[in-house]
Formats: sequence, C-alpha cells, structure tokens
Amino acid sequence: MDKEVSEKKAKQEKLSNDGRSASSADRSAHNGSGPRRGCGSAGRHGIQAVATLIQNANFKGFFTGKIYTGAAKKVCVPGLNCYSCPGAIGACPVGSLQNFLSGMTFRFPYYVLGLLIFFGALLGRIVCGFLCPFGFLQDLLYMIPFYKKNQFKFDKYLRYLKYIVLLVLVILLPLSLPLTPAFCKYVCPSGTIAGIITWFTTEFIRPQFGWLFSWKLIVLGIIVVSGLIVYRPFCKYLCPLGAFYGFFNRFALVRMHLDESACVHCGACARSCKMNIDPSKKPNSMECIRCGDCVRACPEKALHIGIRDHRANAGSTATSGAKDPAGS
Amino acid sequence: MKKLLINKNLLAVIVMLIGIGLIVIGLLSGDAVSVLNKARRICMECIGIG
Repeated sequence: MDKEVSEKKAKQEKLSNDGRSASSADRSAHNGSGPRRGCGSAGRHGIQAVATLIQNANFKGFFTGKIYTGAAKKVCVPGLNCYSCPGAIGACPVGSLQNFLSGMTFRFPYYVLGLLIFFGALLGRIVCGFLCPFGFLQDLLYMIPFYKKNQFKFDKYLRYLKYIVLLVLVILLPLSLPLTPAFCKYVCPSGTIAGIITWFTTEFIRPQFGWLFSWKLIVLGIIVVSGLIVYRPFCKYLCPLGAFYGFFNRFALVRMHLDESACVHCGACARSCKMNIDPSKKPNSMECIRCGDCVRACPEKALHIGIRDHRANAGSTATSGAKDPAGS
Repeated sequence: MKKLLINKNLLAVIVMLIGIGLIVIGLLSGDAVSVLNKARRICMECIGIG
C-alpha cells in the first residue's frame, strides 16, 4: 500500500515537472496561438461542420433568400440555429419556446420542453461542443490568430449572466409581454446572421431594416470581436441553451468520468481547458462543453467521456464515476 | 460506487423518458404544428426587423 502511494507520488512529481516544462506549450495552445492538439479536436470540428451543414441543408435558400417550409421544421434542432435562416431545415428550440410562452393565449410548451429535456438528459452540453452551429462558428473565430486573453477577473461573475438571460429574456419577458420573443428580438446572434443573409438576398425587405437591426448588429459585432479574444464568449456568458443543458451535465447519460485512482493531479487537464474548468475537481461542471481537450491532455488517461466508465468496464479497481464530484 | 454510477444512468433514463412523455403529449395536442407554423414563416423579430 505504502509502495503504491509512493509510486503515485513519484509519478505526480514527475508529471508536475513535465507539466511545468510543458506549461508554456499548454498555455499557447490554450490561447489558440500554439500548435493545435492532435486529430481529436480536428475530429470534433469535422463533426461540428457536418452537424452545421445538416441543420442548414437548404442550400439554395442562401441564394434565393427563401426559407425552407417543409415538414422537417416541425422538429427542433438541439443547438442554436435560427429558423429564419434561409438554410435552416429545422426549428430553433429557443425561438419555438418563446413562441409558445409569448402567445396571445398561453399554451404550455410540452413538445419543445420535452425535446430540450430529452437532448439534455441524453447528451448534456455535448450539444454545445459538437452539434451547435453557433458554437462551431465561435470555435472557428478563436482559431484566428489574434490577441488572446481567455482568463480575466470578471469571468466567473459573467458566467451567471446566461442564467439571467434564460430566466428573464427567454421565460419571464415572453410570458409577460405577448408576442415578444425578447431573446430572439434583442440578443440572438444566430438570428442576426439570418438577417444579414436576408438583407443580401431579398431586396424588397431591405428598407424595413431599422434601429433594431442596427442594435442586433452591434450585439453580434461584440460577440464576434470578443470571440477572437475569449474562447466561446456567447456560450460562456449569454447562451440560454447552454445554461439549460448545463443543468443536465451532472447526470446526463453521456458524461465525463474521472478515474480518481489514476489521477495524479498534475493539472494538465485544467491547463488544456479553454472553458477554464478543472476537470479533476469538477468533471461534470455545468460549464463543460465536452470538447474533450482534457481527455486528450491527461497523461494517465484518467478522464473519459461516455455512458459507462471505461476502467470499471475493464474490471480494474477504478473509482471513477462512482466518486464523481459531478460539478457540485 | 458502481451503484452510484448506475443510479446516475437510471436518473438520466428516467429524465429522458419524462422528456419523451412531454414530446408525446405535445404531439397529441398539436404543438408540432404550431412549431411548424412559426418556423415556416420568416420571424421578423429574429432577423432584426421587429
């Protein structure tokens, strides 16, 4: 037993030293200026690209400005993708939810809420990391070489903003002001992109764009510019869908498993995390978008994303998900 | 420990079933048609016209 502990200590020391020498590389990767990590993140970006294309498969709409009106629009997509985008073939869950809540006569949004709960309980914020088109756009923005500052003083306070957005703009305002989908109207950057496409493709509608469009362009501009500096600012601070799915991260069927017996607390996972989480302490944090950078960074393979814990399956003595600190 | 893992998976499955139940209730009450009716028209608020 003593031998085991001393072995682990030695391993931890070695990895800490390695970590110190590797920390500058980690930091540069963290800042987006260094070499990108292996094929893992490339694979994720591939999945994101495919998901974005599938959700916006009405390609001719991008040229004609006409939106898709087929039966597929009965189904809400899991991520943020405006249904007024000429390419969209599905409905936006946030827009649909507000449509129910802000109707002239109140109807409980069973269907939309059911879909959101289903996606949340199955995948949690994997939706953000793999399926959301706006998340993909922000990932691409952060790859652009530019001044990077992903950690700053007010970061942890700004994170609460998305819960306020969810409560006030998506639920309370639409409930109290009929026909006012407040989030879509004043904030949603996906809708603004749809507006820009419509502006270019539909001439007769152009004179109708006024102060609201200007406001939304400013919001989009702030998100885009800050997205060059900070990793996924919209997901971190404003997205109501991310806030909602975050509640499911702790117990979603597909979630993070930490093998505590293998973890040597070298800090490689925390250094690799662009969402600024320490997966060795909170593997199922509400902020985790399951990008998998920490899984790839872990030298001991102590982290794993899946339904079942890989080490437990292998019959080892792993404690993993069992002692899951689970975002608490 | 393994029990806790199973409990979490069980909780996820139960919540997923609740979600499916809500989807079915919504489908029976015509929610999907309401979603379609909204989604097949350009949402003026969303694109910034108001």
